[in-house]
Amino acid sequence: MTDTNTTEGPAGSSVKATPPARNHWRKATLIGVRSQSQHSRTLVLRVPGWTGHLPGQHVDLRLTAEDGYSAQRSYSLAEPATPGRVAVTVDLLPHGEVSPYLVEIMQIGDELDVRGPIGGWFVWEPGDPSIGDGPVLLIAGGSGVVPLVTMLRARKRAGDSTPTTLVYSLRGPRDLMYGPELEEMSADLSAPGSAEVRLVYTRKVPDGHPRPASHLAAGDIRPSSSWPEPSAARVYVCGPSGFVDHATRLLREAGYPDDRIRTERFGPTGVDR
Amino acid sequence: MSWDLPTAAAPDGGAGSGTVLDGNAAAGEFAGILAGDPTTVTVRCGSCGVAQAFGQLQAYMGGPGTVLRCRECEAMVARVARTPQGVWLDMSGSSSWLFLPAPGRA
Repeated sequence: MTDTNTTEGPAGSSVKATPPARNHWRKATLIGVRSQSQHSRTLVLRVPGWTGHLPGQHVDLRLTAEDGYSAQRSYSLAEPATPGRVAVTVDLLPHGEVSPYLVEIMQIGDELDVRGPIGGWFVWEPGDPSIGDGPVLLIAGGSGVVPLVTMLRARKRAGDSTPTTLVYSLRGPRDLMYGPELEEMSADLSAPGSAEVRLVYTRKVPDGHPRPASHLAAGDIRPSSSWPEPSAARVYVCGPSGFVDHATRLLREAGYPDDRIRTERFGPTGVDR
Repeated sequence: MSWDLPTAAAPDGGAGSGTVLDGNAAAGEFAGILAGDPTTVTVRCGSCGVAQAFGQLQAYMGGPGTVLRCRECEAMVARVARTPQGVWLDMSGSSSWLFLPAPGRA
């Protein structure tokens, strides 16, 4: 469970049970935006009553038009828990119904509805006993990197030293999200909160990048030299359906049992990111 | 996760609106109906008998309801539809739902 239905008041008195938070729509106000790549941005929302969430969880966002038509979509939470605050990173789908508004039009002060946090399966909470000392392997396709970066941020914030490797598949340099942060996080692997980051470009490679452009392959998910074990205790894969299927196949071929692999699929795009 | 569906005004007429997601994306629709977090539930398919995490089921969204299908045999295992009359839950395609206690959490 990620929320509780009964809470203790300041004097220890029992407070009346609130409705389950996950399915309760709350009004949210846009208070900040940050560009993440040429086609994505992070929206920071003020959500009164938001008590927090776990890294990997998501929210449903709902937009309602003046005529009452509404559309809802799911977006991974992009920051570790902060009371009253929710951040999501939205990737633009050209001709999409919702994402063009969220990425290009929505302005500070505008409102929408938020429901969540949702999901307790695709979650990595630092200290999870089923993961133990790790290592943890994170595999992202395109904007699937968002919940995995939230996991890395939470791990850093908690001072957790579980050996962690992020494998991030993307089309080309213009698609890179969180570039400076990932570079800083992987610069010195002896620093607390650092993680090995492997960028897998599938179409266009930036100058000086050692790996030629190609799809995710067995070598990209190999164990890190810094791991104490030859395979990861837990693998999280997030990306488009075709990408997740491809990554899962590679993991099985590398000997990973299904119960070590947790996946989250989204979107219509194919395997190439 | 970051997903969207095309509008009907898209060049392909919104043909991609049958996008297949997974149970993680569908969890918000089921969360108000089931007592616990849906994504950690193990669901057994009534057709082929394979058990899988709710989060791994195929989810078809964007229609009038949300349909969950078995990842192995693609049979429908559950669906939810919200109508003016009320919320319909159809679990007839599944044979069991296993709710495990969440480790380390009340």
